[in-house]
Amino acid sequence: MATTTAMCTSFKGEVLQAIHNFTASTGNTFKMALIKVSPTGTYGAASTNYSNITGNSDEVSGTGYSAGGTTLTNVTPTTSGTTALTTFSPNPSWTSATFSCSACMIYNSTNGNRSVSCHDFGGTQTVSAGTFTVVMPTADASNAILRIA
Amino acid sequence: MEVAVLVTNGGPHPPDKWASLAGSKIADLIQIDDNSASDLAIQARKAKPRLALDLSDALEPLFATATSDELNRVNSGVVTGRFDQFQPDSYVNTAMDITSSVMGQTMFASHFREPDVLTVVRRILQELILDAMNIERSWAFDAKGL
Repeated sequence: MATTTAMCTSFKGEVLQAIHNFTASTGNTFKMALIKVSPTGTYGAASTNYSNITGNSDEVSGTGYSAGGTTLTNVTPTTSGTTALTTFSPNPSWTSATFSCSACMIYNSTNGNRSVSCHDFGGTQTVSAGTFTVVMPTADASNAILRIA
Repeated sequence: MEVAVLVTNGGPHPPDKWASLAGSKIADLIQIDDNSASDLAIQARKAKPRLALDLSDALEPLFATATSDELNRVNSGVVTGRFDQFQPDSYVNTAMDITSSVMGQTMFASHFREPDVLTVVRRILQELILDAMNIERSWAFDAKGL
């Protein structure tokens, strides 16, 4: 199966129910989990929860990676023109790491591990006793990782 | 919402990777109409990739300094914990000066004098310098087994 880069449809509905709060420092805790190479499940717009990954045993395992992934640091959402946007900073990194992965899921660990979005890495990514960094796109109205236009 | 991935085996990301990323992110702030055949668009399409390379070359020593300084701060005991406050401001200010100098010699100079654009450039540089320092620090503490 595979991963398609997408904002999760369930997340769109949950935003309207005020389930997710991206405010810096006082908002919810969001995490990024890495998905292994050739996962059993399919991840993308239809994903609803981090448990989708664990239920299929599709999370990465390896040196330097802990189950659940890494905590992201919220940046308070802003607007640019008619678009609302947010990002996470610093970029999530794993050091002294040895593993392979193909994609990631961002999810809200404060509120039931509900998924936010899935991101395909465009192929297998392998790190060996090194550093793996996921670089967020520029936080503007055209590119930010999470945008409501 | 496309993310990029930076991978380095055997250690932290070297300065050239951070500088290359910074150069391409800043150059990507220039939007050129792919369908235009105007002289200006043709010139800009040629100049944009060169700009990314020039920025990368100019910023690489700065990233090298920022990361080696952070390593020295950990090894000399100035930084005692992974979550101690970072001090990126002087590096960011220098990076902004370097970027302005490079931009000033290009056809994009006026664009990169606009306050809104400078704000975004500063945010890009600050984020990447902080990332570089954070990862260097993380490796230093990993090496100490802390």
